[in-house]
Amino acid sequence: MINIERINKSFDHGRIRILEDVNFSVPKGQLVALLGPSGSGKTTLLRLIAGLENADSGTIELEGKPAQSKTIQQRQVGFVFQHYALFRHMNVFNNVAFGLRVKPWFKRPKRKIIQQKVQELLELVQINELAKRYPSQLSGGQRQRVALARALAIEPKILLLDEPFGALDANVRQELRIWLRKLHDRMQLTTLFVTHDQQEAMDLADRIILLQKGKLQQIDTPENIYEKPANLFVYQFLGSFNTIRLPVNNSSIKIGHHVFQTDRQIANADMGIFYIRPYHLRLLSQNQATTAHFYASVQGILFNGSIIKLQIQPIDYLSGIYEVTISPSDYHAHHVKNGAIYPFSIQELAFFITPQQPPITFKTSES
Amino acid sequence: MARLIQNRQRHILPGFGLNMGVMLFFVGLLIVLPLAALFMHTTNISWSKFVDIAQDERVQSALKLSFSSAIIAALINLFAGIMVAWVLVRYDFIGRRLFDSLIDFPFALPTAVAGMTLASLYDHNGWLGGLLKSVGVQVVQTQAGIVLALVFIGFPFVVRSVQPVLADMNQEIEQAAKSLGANGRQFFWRIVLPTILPAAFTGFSLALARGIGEYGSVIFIAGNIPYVSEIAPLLIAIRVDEESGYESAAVIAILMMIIAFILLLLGNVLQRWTRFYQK
Repeated sequence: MINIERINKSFDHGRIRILEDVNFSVPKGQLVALLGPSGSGKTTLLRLIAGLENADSGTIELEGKPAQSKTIQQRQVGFVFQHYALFRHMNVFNNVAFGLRVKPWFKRPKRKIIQQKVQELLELVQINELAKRYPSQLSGGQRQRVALARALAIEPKILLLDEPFGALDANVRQELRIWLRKLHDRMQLTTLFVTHDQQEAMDLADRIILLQKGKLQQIDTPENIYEKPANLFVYQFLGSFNTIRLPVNNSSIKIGHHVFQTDRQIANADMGIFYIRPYHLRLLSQNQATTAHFYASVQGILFNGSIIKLQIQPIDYLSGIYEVTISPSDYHAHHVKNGAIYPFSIQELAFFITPQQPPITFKTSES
Repeated sequence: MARLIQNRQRHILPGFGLNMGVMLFFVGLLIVLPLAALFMHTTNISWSKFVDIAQDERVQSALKLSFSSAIIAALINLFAGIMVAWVLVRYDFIGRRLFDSLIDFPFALPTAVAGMTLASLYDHNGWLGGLLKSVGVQVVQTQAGIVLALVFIGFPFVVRSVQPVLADMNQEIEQAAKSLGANGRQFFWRIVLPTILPAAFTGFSLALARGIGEYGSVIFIAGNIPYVSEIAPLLIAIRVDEESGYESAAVIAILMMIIAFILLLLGNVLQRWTRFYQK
């Protein structure tokens, strides 16, 4: 369990504030992502927990005990560095054994037990055949596994990983994600990992802690953080979106002769900014044209594996270029071609009264 | 024939031919040629005469003194150099840059000046020498004085070899070691030392080579008493001046060269051996 209360941290004698009043707790056994753009303070937060930095104020509790009076060595936290920080003059076996060999003599396991333990760890991370290799002879994915085995050797209750997949190829990354998830569940660890990749956080984590400019933005499950963003930053950070400027009257807006409204009371405005997720724009077939909100011509088609991105330019009511995502099956069913014109409908629009508040949803009352 | 040309390995970086040529030219002209000339001189010396000169007591004691002093001085420089490099890289203190630039000073100073300065400082009347005399230690005219001079002129080698390697050591490495429970001492012995050892041995070899051949700074402090504090390079110089001593000088030079070559080769092997993980 990790408990963080009112943590403040600044560099350069208070001139650069890195973390401001950050509070959160990670329950035992959870796998949690610390997500944020670069410069959000997420790595500093991780290093504070490990004891590699000191906070200016606030408290850190690990497993229910105050941690700040403890040194890095005493905290017994497994830390995996972004660039692995393997000892290059030691082979894989000795790297993994390091944490056991530097224990004080009265706690140090016997030679045979170290041998056996390291063997088990290497099997756990599936690299037992590499025991005699040196770090310079390993691939990125293999180094990552060694770094993990080395951190796990001291039997930490808490595992901290700094951008664990940052330096790896896309498919190795995917494989290691699944493997890390399994490892976490099997070892019953409390794991906190730093990432700037929202997809990675969504794929892997039980919960996501979202930071920006040193301030906590939202702590939630991947589902909630996506569907119920706490503010404009969260909405923008977690996925692509289109914006439209429209006047607001009587808590409703008009696109052509179609009305979209919300049940919340909103002050009239000449120009409100409305956000639409690409998948909230629906491509309709010609025989569904009666329910269309606007027509648009396709300006570009991007194949992105399981989804297809269209760039469309509305020919009536709206102006600009919008992004739409459709499934490959829709793509084939509608015979989508560049330059052709299709009917589209808007399922919902999001509106932020202030950037600090959650969005208000506008929907059409037409069924 | 065409096959032979095709099979020749292509180098991605250009200039191999030219650079190889320049390297061979310089090594040949500056190192091999003078050495070959030296060997030529000894070819008209008979073997029995060669052995006679080599077994001469004065020659033997001079050689022993030269090599033992150079080895002791290089060892002192090895330990001191590692510590100095460690301090210069790891700690930030007032005057660090000044100290850093002072390290190279022994290279810039004419060796004779260094020798005279050391001699006057450690002489019975000099203020360090007088102090040492009162506790019964004599530096001038003993091997201690020779070692002192050699430590002085060889000091920069280990420091400058080790410094960049230490500076290059990632801070994360230290943090990783500590997060795994290592204390400062364990970090130094298990991580730092094995990492810098190859560079330290490089510096050791250089300091050793420099110490073996050093002449200018030593003769002022050594007193040059035959059988006691007379180094081999000085003996060579003396023999060259003597009539018909030229042969003797050549033999001593050859002996020095052979021993130095073996020592440097050993140093090289040691260095390779500690670099095992980079293969």
